[in-house]
Amino acid sequence: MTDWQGIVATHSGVVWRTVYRLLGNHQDAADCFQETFLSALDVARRQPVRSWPSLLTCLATARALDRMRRRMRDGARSADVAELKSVASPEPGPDQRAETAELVRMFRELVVRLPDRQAEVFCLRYGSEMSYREIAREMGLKTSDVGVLLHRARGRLRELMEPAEGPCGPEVMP
Amino acid sequence: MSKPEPEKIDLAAKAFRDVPVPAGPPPEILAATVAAGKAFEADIHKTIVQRRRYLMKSLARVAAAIILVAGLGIGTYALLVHGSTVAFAQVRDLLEQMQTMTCRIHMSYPAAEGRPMEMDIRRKVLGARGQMASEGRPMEMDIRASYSLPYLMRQEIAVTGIPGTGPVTLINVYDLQAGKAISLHPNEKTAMMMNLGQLPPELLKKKTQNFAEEMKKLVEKDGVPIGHKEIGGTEAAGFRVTHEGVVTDLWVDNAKAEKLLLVEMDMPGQGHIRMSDIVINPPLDAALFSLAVPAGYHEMPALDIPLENLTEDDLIAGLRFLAQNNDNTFPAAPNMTPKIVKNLEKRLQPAVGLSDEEIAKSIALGQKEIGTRIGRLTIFLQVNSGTFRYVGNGVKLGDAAAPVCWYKPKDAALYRVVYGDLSAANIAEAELPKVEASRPPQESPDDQAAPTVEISPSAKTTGSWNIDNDGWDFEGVTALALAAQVYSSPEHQTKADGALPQGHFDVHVQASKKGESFQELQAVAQHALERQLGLTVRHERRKMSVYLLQAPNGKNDALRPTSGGGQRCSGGTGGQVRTVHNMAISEALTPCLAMRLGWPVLDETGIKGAFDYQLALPAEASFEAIAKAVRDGLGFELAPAERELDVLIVKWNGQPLKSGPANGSRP
Repeated sequence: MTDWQGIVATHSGVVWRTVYRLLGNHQDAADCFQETFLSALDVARRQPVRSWPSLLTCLATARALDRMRRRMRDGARSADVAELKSVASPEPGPDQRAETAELVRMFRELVVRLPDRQAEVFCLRYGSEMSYREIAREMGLKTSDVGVLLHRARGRLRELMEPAEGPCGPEVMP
Repeated sequence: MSKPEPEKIDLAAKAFRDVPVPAGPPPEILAATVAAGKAFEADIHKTIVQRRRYLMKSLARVAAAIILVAGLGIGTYALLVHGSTVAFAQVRDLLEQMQTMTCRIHMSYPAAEGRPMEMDIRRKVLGARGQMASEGRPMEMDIRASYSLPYLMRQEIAVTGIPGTGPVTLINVYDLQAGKAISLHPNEKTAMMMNLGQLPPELLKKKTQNFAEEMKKLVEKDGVPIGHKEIGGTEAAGFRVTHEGVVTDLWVDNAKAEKLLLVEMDMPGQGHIRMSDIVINPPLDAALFSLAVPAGYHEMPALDIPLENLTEDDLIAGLRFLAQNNDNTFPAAPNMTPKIVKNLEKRLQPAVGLSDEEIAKSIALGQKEIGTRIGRLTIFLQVNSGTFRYVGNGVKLGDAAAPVCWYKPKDAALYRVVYGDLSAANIAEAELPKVEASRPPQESPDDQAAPTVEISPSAKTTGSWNIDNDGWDFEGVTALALAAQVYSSPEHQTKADGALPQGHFDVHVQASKKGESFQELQAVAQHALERQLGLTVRHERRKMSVYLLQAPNGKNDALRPTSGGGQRCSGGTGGQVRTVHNMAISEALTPCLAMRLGWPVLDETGIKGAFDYQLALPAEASFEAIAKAVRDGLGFELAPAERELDVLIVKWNGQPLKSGPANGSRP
C-alpha cells in the first residue's frame, strides 16, 4: 500500500501553495487540493512515481488551471477582492500594492488564455520554478519541446498584454 | 503595433510567485484528503484482489484439468508401470475384473528448497475421492473422481491454498475417446468445454484399455520380500520390484493375499507415489459422465488444449516454459510448482485499466498458454514414463553442459538427453549419468523447517497485501506501511523516527510445511524486518487527535445482538454497505471508521458484546458525511478529541536491504 498519509503530510505545503497562488481563494484551493492528491493516487497506481513533489506540482497546476478556465467560462473573476487586496510586499506603499496586485491579476487572467500545454509549462517554469528537465519528465515531453512551448507562451502573452496596458482593458477581461 | 516590454511578463511572474499564501491547508481538508485517498486506494486494492482471485481461479481450473488429464491413470499408475510379486498373484484376478476402484494416493516431489513438495491424492476410480497438495500447502485438491473404463471420467475437485483466493470447487468430466472435457464451476455456475484432441493411443492403452494385460505382466515378475508391517490394523507383506531405476513396493494383506493394501513408488528426480485405502469396484451412476452443460450454467468460450501429435519439441517447449517462469532456472520437478504459479499470476495479472472483456481475453490467452505448454509436456512425460528421468533441479536455463532430463524414444537405440540450453543429443545408455533411487521422505527435522522470508525492492508504488496462515504477501509497500502491517499497528498510529528506507518493497513470508500460527509468522516477519531491512520499533504513548465513537445515553437500539456463528465483515469502503456479523464494535466498526477518516477512532460507547449490523457508508469522505451515516445508521455520535495513544515508532539503522530469501529462525 502507498503510505498515503505520509505523502499527503509531506507534500501538502507545496500543493497548497501551488493551487492557492493560482486560484487565490480558500474554497477553490481546498477543492483543488483534494483533486490533486486523488489524481496523484490514480497516477501512482498506473506507473511508478519518480518524484512526488514534481508530480504533485504538475497535477496541482493542471487542476488549478482547469478550475480557472471553468471560472472564466462562468464569468467569474480569478480571485476575490479580499485576496487581491492582500497581495502586497511587507511594507508597500499604496501605489506599489496596487501595481503588484495588478500584475498578479494579469498573470492569472492571461495565463488561462494560453493553450493548455503552454499554460501549464509556463506556470511550472515561471510560477513554480521547475527546471526544463523536470517539466519535460513529468509532462512526457522532450526538453526542447518545453523550450518551444515556453517561447510560444511568452509570445502569446506579449500579444495579450498589449491591449492590457490600461487596467482592466475590455480586450483582456472576460 | 508597439511591442510590450518583455520584462513585464517576468515582473508578473515574480509578483505571482510572491503572492502571500495563507497557512494551509486547514486540518479538516488534510484529514478529508487522507480519508478520500484511503477510500480510493481501498477500492483499487479490492479491484486488484478480485481480479487476482479471478485469475487464480481460472488458472486453477486449467491446472486441475491438466493434472487430471495427465494423471488420468494415476489410481492405476503405480500398479501398471512396473513390477510384481509372486505373492501378489491372487490380486491379479481381482484387478483383471476391475471396473471401479477407490484409493488414496499421496505424491511427493523433490523441492528446490530441500522441502518435499507433496501431492496427496485419494481417488475413486468409478467413484473416487482425492486430495492434492503441492509444496506443503500452496495448492491442495480434494478430488472425488469417478471413471468408467476405458474412456469416461468425472472428478469433483476442491482446490485450496491458491494464493489470493479461497477454495475453488470444480467438476471436470472427460470423454477421452472423443478428446473432450467439460469443466464446471458450481459456485459461479459456469461451464467451459475443453477440446483435448485425441490423446496418444499408447497412453490410453497403457492406462486403461489393456489394464488386465498389464496386470498379467505385473504378476509375472518376481519381487523381493521386504518384510511385514501393520497397515490399518492389518498385517501386510511387502515386496519390492526395481525396474528402470523405479523402485516399487507392494504391500498385500498377509492373510488374504487378494487384498492390495499399499503401493509405494519412487521415481528418481520426479518424486514418490504412495497409494493406499484401495477398494475395487464400488457402484457408480453412469449419469455422472454427461458432457452437456447443466441447466442454469453459463457456458464460457471453449478452451483448446490439443494433446495430440506429441514430439520432442513439446518436451523442450514445456521445459522452457517452466524455467522461464521459475526465474530462468529449471524447477525441482518437471511440473508446476507454487513459485511458478505465483510468477505466472504476476505475469498474467490483467492491467487495472482493462475492460472486463479485455481481461477475459487476457485470461483466456493465459489459460491456453499454460494448458498447451504444461498439458503437452505432462502427456509427453506420461507416454515416456518408462525411460524418462529428470535431473534438472537448479540447472540454469542456457547451461549447455548440464543435463536436464533424458528419455528413450520408442524403438530407438539411443537415449535423448536434453541440456540446460534446451539442446538435445543422442547418448548411449551406458553414458547416462547414474541416478540413485531414494526412498520416500520420512518425517524428519527437515519437515519442521522454519518459514522463510524474502524481501526485495519493488517496482510497484501502490501496495497490496494478502495475509493468511499459508503465508503473507506484501507487494509495493513502503517501509513504514510494512512495519505497521507486520506489527499489527494501525497506520495512523505508526510513526517514523528519522529517515526510513526509501522506495517500496515486496515481502513474502512463506509458512513451512508444519504450518505456523499467525503469531509465529508475525514473529518471523518482525525478525526479518530487523535483520534484512534494519528496522527496529518501540512503543510510545503520545497525545493524538482522535475521534470518539459515543452512544448518547450509553445505549443503542439500532444494533442487534448477534445471532451467533462465525465472525464476518464484508463490504467496500467507498459508498457501499458494510455488513458485520458477530463482531464487537471495536473489532469492526471503529477500524473501518478510522480507515475512512484517516484518524484513530476510539470506542467509547461503553456497549459490550458482539452484534450483527449493516452500515451504509457514503462515497464522500468528509467527516460530516461519515458522522451523519453513523448517526443515521447506528445511532452513534463521532466527536473530535485528544487522547494519549500507544504509537509504534519505527527507526532505521541505515543498513542497505539484505535482499533475498532467508530462513525465518526465531529471534
